[in-house]
Amino acid sequence: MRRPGLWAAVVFLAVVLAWAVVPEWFAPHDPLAGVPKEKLLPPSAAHWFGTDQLGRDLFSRVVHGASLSLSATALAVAVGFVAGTALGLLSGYAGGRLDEIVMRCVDVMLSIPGLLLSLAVVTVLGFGTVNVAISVGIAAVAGFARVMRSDVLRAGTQVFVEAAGALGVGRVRILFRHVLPHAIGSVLVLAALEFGTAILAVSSLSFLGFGAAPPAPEWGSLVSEGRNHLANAWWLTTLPGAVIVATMLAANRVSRALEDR
Amino acid sequence: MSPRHALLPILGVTTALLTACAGAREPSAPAAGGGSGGLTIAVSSFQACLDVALSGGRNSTVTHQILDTLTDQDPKTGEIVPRLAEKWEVNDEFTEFTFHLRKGVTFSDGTPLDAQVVADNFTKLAELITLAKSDTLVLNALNSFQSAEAVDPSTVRLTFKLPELGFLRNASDPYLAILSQATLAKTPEQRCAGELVGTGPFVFDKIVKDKSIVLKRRDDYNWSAAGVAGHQGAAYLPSVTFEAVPESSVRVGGLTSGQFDISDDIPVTDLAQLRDAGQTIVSKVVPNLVPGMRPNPYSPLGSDDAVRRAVQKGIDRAEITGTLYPEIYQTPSSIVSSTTAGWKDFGTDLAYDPEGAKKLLDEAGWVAGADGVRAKDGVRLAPKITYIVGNFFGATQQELELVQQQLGRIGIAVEIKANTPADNAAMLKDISKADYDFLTGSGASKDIDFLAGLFKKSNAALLNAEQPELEAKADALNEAATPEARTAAAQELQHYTIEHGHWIPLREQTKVVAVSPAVSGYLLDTYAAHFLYDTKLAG
Repeated sequence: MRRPGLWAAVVFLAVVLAWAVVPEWFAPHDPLAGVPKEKLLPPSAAHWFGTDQLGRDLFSRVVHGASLSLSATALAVAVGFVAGTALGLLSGYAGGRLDEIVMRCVDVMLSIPGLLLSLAVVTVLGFGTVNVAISVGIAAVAGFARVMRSDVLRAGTQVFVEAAGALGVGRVRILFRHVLPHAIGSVLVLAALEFGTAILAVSSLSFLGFGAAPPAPEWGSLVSEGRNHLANAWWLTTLPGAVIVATMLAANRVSRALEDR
Repeated sequence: MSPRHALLPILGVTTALLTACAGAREPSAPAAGGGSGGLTIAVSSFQACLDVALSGGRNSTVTHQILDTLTDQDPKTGEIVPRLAEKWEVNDEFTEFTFHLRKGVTFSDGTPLDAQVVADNFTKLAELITLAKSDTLVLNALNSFQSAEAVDPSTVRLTFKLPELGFLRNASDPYLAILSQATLAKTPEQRCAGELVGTGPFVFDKIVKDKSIVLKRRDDYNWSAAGVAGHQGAAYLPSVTFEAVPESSVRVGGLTSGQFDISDDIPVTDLAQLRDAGQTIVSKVVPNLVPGMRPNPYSPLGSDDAVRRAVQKGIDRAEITGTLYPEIYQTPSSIVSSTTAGWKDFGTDLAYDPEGAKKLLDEAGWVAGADGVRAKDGVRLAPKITYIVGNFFGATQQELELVQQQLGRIGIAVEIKANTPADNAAMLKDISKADYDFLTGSGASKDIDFLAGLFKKSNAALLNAEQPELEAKADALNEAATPEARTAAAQELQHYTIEHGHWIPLREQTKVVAVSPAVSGYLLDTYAAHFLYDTKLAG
């Protein structure tokens, strides 16, 4: 227990993950049905995060929103990881013309700010949590591809890979048996790092209104809905916003720790 | 991962927090006549088309200031009074209107207002209707228009095929304002972009699309409508700037910090704060078809009478008003608002009656399934309701979320679909293929006359669907030849549409504007639009 910050982050992430899996254990109220008479109540013992403009318990909405927001984040990271890793592996191992083409495309993607690229993609795909996740994932593909390629290049020069080639082992078998296991480590760490960024990107898009159809709670859309009440109900934006920030910081802290090892 | 990559999303999420201070940091160019008595108004949206005769008739913010209409409406008595026409005669059948124009009126390009240009205005509108380039409000007002002719230089005669008892009031609406001869020759695109010349007290000075519009005063203006305007001669304000500020918290913040003199479309939650800061709140019920839901006659649920009636009864309008609009706003009492000529109180027919709704559905064979949602012949009672994101004129997301909760209690599972304005336009191109059961919207007009056009099958939202009873009721209003017959037909149409759920009202729309203490003489006119002619700015 020499790193209390790390442990706090791990505990917080565990709690948030539990919210996503079994929200009904944590949420004291129904996230969708409110009591209109109890609208815009400030945080109290009965309503930890206060209530929104329709009298719904904000804490319950944040807890239930974890499931949508985190699964979208996980899907986004998975899309970026799988597509990016595959591209990087192919590009690094094939080399030559193909490598050139793929890497120039990656350069182009890297030159476009991630959120902007996600916005463009989601505009084409349309509204919905899955579409938001895919668009955030696509924006992350380039980063994964670049890291994977450099690791594949490094692993490809190892003596045992050359030996396997000399012994007549097939290219595909070498790729998956000898190169991939030695190159995957750093992309896994990158995936953990991307998780924090992806939470923010997914929340940003849902803030802008691209996420799930109402009244499903998503962290970003919760912040967005509270926007018009900034002056008279600070908790509507501040508390869901704080949860997003805390989750992202915790995810970053944990992935830094993984990186150090 | 680069720090830049990490920072961008943070920006997105914290936009909310920034808007609080953005009011102070976001002044676009110093207000038009800054220091010289110019007034700045923060409005919620930039009018997509500046000519309301072509599109967006309900969202007129600037057109009122630069154009004049033939008639006007007294804000106190509701009576029709002279404006560009100093007097008029109407034949006994209400099919022929002869207007005698005021003398000495000129357009801002110097050309005089004469009978020929007025006649050409109406001929041009009829032509635009045939080309489907006009706003639906124009179509409704002129649906039986036959011809316009100049009898002599200052007398113009309009002829209609059917009795038009509401025409004098329609003639006071901004979409029938009179434009100069040169403007009539412009393309619809040019007119939308603001190439408009009228006879009003202000003229366009500078238009920056999607951002701001600056108007300047016409010094030789001298024909304001007596009984409506409080003075004669030129307007008091040398210039007026309209700033498009979509974020309501910025409009509110900008008003209290002195960046704006008037802020439009104030959310009800900010009223107390503004009053505490010494600002004046001006409000008026908008004369219109109230914001509500319209069934899709081509969808299985929208065409089911029992479903429509149950939805009508299953909505608790008092709860919607009480929760989201706790003051100023009223619960709707008909499909048109209480300030619309021809309105009748049908409040009891719109009362919340969940038991009655359940009974209707039970009788029609909609039985609750395991999840509490009703179904019949394998069709789930889960209507899709669309709304336009960021639009004040239809239903808002929050209203629909309440509707969803209320209808959920009687076994109807509402699915809310967010549409962008473009999605909505695409949907209305062919509603028979569109995937929705109810759409939401409203319609603006001061006279009940427009209801006929909204419920006839020629309307895009009905697309020739055969609903003979509804069509007959709308025709009756359209063809009514005496004031008595018209009142009766208007009431019958309101009653029928409410009873059978052809329009499902949600709230009564109220225009709420906050005005700084330095401003005097500001009003909302009978159309609930800014009336700036008498406005003065101190300091």
